[in-house]
Amino acid sequence: MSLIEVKNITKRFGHKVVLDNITLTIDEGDVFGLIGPNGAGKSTLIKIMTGLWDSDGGEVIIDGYDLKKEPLKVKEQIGLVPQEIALFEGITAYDNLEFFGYLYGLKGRQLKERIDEALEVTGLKDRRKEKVNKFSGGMKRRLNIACAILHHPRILIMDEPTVGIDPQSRNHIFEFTKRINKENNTTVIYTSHYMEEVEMLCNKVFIIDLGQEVAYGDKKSIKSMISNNDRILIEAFDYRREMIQAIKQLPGVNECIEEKGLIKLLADKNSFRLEAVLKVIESHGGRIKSINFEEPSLEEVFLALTGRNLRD
Amino acid sequence: MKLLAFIKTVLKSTLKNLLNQLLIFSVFPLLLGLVIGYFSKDQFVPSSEIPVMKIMINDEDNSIESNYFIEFLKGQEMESLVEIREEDAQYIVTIPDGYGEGLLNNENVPVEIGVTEEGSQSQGNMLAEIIDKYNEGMYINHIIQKSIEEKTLPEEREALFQRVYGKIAEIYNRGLIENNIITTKKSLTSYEHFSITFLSYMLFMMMTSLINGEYIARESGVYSRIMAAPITNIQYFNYNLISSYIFVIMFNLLYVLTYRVFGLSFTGSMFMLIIIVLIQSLLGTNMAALLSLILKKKASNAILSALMIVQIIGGVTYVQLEKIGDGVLARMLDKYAPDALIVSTYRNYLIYDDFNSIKTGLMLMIVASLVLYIISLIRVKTKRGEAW
Repeated sequence: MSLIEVKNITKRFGHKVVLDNITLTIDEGDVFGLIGPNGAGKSTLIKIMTGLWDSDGGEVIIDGYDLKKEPLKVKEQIGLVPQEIALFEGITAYDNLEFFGYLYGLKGRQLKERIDEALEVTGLKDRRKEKVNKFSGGMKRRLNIACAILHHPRILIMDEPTVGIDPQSRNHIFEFTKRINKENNTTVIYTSHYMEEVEMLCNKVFIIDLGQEVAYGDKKSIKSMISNNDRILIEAFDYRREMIQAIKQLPGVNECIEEKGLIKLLADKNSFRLEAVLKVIESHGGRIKSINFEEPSLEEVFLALTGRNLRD
Repeated sequence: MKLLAFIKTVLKSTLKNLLNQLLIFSVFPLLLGLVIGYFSKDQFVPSSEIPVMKIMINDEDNSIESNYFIEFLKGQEMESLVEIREEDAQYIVTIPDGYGEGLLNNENVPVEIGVTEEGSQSQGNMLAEIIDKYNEGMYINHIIQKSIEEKTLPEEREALFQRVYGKIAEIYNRGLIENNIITTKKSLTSYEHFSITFLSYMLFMMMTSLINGEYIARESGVYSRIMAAPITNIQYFNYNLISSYIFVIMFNLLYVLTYRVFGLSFTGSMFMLIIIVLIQSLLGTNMAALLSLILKKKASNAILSALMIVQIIGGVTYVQLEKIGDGVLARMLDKYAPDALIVSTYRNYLIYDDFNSIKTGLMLMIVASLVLYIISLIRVKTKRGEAW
C-alpha cells in the first residue's frame, strides 16, 4: 500500500472546476514533484491533501487513514511548508518554533531539543532570539521549513519553498530537501513552477494544468511520453563537411545538425546505433572530443503536451 | 498545551510590542480624556450644587399613603431640594391611582415624573432616586410594624427578625418606582464621563485590532499552517478566543487602573470594577470574534470605525445633546448606542458604587456574550475551509 493515495479528487468554485478527477499515489521515501503553471491547481490540491479545504469528490488516504474521517491522525504525520511566509513576525524565531511545536504535542525538554535541532538544520541557530521581522527573505523561508520539521513528520509538503529568495538560501533548501529524504526517509511533496528544481530533486512527477493531469510517473517515463528519440551531442573536430550528410543517411537518425564542431543528433531509440555514427566520423577524418546524451527537460515535456510554455 | 501555545504567543507578542499598544490603548485615550475633561469641567455640575427643584404634585390616588408621601415632599428635610408649586413647575410628580395599595403590597405602581422644558433630566433623576428610597423606607416600616403587632411573644422575635430581613432583601431586589428619566451624566465629573467615553473608544479599537489580527493570520498563511496541524476548527476558535480575552482584559484593566491611580475615575469598589472589566472584556471579545467570522475585513473595519466616531462624538457632545429637543437625542444615544450596555454599567458603578445597580447590566452582558459565542460556534462549524 502506498503512503499517500489521492483518488478522484474534484474541486469546484461555483461553476469553475479547479481540480478535475485527480488521482495519484506516493510511496514512502519518494520525493514527489507537483508541477504546473500558476493557477494550475497545485496549491488547491495541497490544501485538500492537508485537510484545509474539503474536496467536492474523491478521497485522500494517508497511511491508511481517511482524511475526512480521521483528519487529526493524518495531520500528525504531515509537516507543511506553506507558500506564504507563515510566521508570527512580531516574535522571535524561537517563539515561533515553540508555538508550532506545542501544536504538534511537543513539550518540555523534547520541545527544546527539537527546536535546537530545527534551528541547527536550517542554519538559524545564531538568530534564534531575533524577531522574525528582522530576517531576510531567505532566512524567513528557512524558518518556515524549521517550523514544519519540528515534529519529525513522515510527510513534508513544501509548497513553492524557493519563491523570491536569494540563490544561497535556495541552495540551502535544495540540500536540506535531499538530506531529509536520504537520512530520515521523509517523503517529500515538492510543488513548484520552476521545472529545473523538480528535475533536480524529484524522482516522481505529477504535471498539472488547468486542474487536470497532464503527465504522471517517474521522470524517465514522462520524458519518453513526448519523444521516442534520444538526443546525442557529439563534439568533434578535423572532419570533412560531407560527414554530416553521411550521418543523416544512417538508420535511426531522424535529424542531424552541425554547429561549430558540435553535432546534434535526434535518433530513434529503437533503431539507432551509436557505433555506426562513430565509424562515419572516423572514416571522414574526424576526431571525437566528447559524447553526451541529452534528455528532454520537463519544461519541454510540458510544452509538447500542452502546447504552451510553462510561464505563459 | 495547545491553549498554552496561543496564550504564550499572545502574551509574548504583546510584550514585544508593548510600547505601541500602550500608546494606542492606554496613553492616547487617557490623555484625550484628561484634556477634554479638564476643559469641560464647568459643564458637569456636581450633585451638591444642583438648585432647588420646583415641583407640582398631582395626586390621583388620594390615599393615606399618598398623603404621607406629599407631606414628606413638603417636609423640612426636603426644603433644600424641592419647592412645591401649583404652577410654573419644572417637574410634575403624578401619584397614580393604586399607589397606596401597591406600596403596602410591594407591587409596582410607578410614580411618574414629568420633566417640563425648564427642568433638567439629571435633577429629575435625582428626584426619582429620592422617591425610590422614600418608598422603600415606607414599605420596610410597614412590614416591621405589621410583624411586631402580630408577633409579641419573645420566642417569636427571632422568626420576626428573619422575616423582616427577608422582606428587606426582597425590596432591594425590586424598584418600586419606574421612571423614564435617564441616568444622568451630569452626576458624574467630567473626568468620569470622558473616562467612559474613551473606554468605549478603546473597546472599538481593541475589537478592530483583534479582527485585523485574525485577518492578517489568514492572509499571511499562519492560519493555514495552524490548521494543517492536528487541531480542529472549534479548538482553534476557542483557543484564539481565550487568548484574545486575556489580551483585552490586560488593556482594559490598565486603562481603568490608570484613571484610578490618578484618582480621576473608577475610584469605587475595586472588586466591582474588576468584575465589570472581566465581563465587559468577555462581551467585547465575543463581538470581535463574531464580526471576524461574518464580515470581510473592510466591512468590519468600516463598521467599527463608524461606531467609534459616533461614540466619541456622542460622548464629547453629550451635554449639548441633552439640551436639544427635551434631551431626546441624548436618550437615544444612551439607549441605542452599540456600547450602551457597557456604558450604563460603568456609569451606574461610578454613580452608585453598588452591586445592585450594576448586576442587571452584568447579567445582560453575560447573556449577550453567550449568545454571540453560540452563534460564532455555529458559524465555525458550518463555514467551509476555503471560505476563510
